[in-house]
Amino acid sequence: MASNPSDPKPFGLSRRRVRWSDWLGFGSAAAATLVSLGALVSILSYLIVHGIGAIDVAFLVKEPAAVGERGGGIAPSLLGTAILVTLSSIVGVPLGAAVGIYLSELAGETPFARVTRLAVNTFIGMPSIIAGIFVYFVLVKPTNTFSAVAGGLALGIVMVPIMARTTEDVLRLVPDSIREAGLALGAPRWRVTMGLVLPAARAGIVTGGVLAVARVAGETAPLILTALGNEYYPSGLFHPTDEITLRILKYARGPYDIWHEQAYGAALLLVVGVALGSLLLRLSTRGHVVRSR
Amino acid sequence: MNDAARVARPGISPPAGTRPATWQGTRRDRLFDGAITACVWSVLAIFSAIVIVMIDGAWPAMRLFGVGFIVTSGWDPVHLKFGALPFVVGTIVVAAGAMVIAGGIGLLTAVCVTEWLPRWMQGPVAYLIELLAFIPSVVYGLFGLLVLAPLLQTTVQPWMLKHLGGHFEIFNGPPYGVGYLCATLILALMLLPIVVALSREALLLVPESQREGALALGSTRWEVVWHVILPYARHGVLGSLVLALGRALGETMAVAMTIGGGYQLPRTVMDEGYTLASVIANEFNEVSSPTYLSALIYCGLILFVLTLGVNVGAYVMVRRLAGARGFKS
Repeated sequence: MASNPSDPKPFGLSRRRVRWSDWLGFGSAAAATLVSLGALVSILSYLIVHGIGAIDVAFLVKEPAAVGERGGGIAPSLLGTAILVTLSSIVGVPLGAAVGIYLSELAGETPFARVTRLAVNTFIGMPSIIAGIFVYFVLVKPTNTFSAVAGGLALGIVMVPIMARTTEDVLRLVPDSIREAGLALGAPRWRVTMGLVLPAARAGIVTGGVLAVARVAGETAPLILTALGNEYYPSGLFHPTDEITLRILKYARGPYDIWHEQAYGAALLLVVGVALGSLLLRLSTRGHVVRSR
Repeated sequence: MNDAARVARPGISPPAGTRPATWQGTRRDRLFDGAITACVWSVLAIFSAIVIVMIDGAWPAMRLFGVGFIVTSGWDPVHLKFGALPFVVGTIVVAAGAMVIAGGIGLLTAVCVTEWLPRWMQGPVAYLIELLAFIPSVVYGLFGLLVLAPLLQTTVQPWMLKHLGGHFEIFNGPPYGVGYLCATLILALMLLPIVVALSREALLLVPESQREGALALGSTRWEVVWHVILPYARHGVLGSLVLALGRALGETMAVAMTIGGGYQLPRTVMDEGYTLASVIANEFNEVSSPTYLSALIYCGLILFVLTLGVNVGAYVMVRRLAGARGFKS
């Protein structure tokens, strides 16, 4: 085991340094993994420990209590979340999916397709608050009111490039043999796309859609400028609307312990909802985004 | 494939009996193409409208303060004197700090998960860490504001003041809890799952033969990682870091909740301040004059250009590198 300088050594390291670097490298890698897992565990355990006490039936079905009082719930926020997610899906899913289909199935490598692809890939990284500013100027200011429609539009705009990219990626995984088989049978192109390619990629597209919805369900920044928030049930689609993350924001910043507890409770609901959705998806698709049949 | 899909070719008539279907097919093809193209155009129209609205909203401030806005300090809504330098610096400092922490820990975690853990543990551990990505930013803000900030205020920052503050001016600040340190740590936590997920993907793309070859030459496992796998996967890893940087620059809520708020240039790690995104989120609904509003939109425009630049850079880089290796996407 004694180190012999004339030994052939990989990458010119002495054997002692080799063992030392091996130990150090994997030691720090293991430590980093533990830190990452520890962060997750500490956040989740804080949410559970502090939030579980706030969650009961009243929390789910009642309006917020008077400022700083015990009791009350977040029902208007849950309703608002459902409204906003629905509206944003109506905007974001079809438009995003259409762009994804265009890029994968119709466009090829034309300059226009390249510009579109570049636009999608850059707007994915656009800070969501920019969408909020945009909708503030085109919808909130002209209608003179913050509203659910404005919030839904802002979230929908955030959703479009995400949806477009996942759709394109998934459709590209569908083997060309499926398209060729369809075309060889004399099927027109729209039929091949809608009847063969899309069904083959269904699981992946649904996954992408759910992930996009989950992503915008947790967005807060654009909603500050568009949906604003509301203590009560919204009086209509063109009125200020509450959303669960706006409620968490308000309660976290407030001075009352009961608000903090309810913020933890709402955050726990949100995280569990989003994580459960993703887990169910993962189990139901078992990692297969494309099924050839 | 796309050329073959064009069914109608002059001179070749389809077999008898299929003509109506083909005719119908081409007409519906045109309808289908038209509908899809209309969607694409409207999406591009929305994107362009965003750019136009941002420039239009920032125009008054751009005329008043010019490009000097970016390098001027001072944010005075009463006397209408605005300069975004503290926010630009804040954005870069917080993003860079978070990238260093998350990049290092995330990359090491990805290496540990892909190269070291037994196969049956790899998927579950990676999934657990990626769960962090499902936590909305407002929940990170909540955690930072109610858990991390008090912890920093009562233990970490007094320790820093006592042991480091005398030697380094940068640790000699007010121990408020919230501030640059808190925001950077929370942002690092948010970037962690992105870095882990994307660099893990890049590491998984390294062919098994590369590992086997290096091991056969007598390398240790760590040498395989350091001299073979990381160099091979460097493009993907770099891409993941740039994407995380784009996210770090634009992150709004978690930073807005934990950075405290302030209009001065940062002097110590404990100072309170603002980033470009967080100043918009915290001040937008309290604007008192059109100039103030326009100055905030100007901040948004700077942020927009900054993140768009990073994203275009990442996209072009990844594409070029992918092309260089013979993969066309």
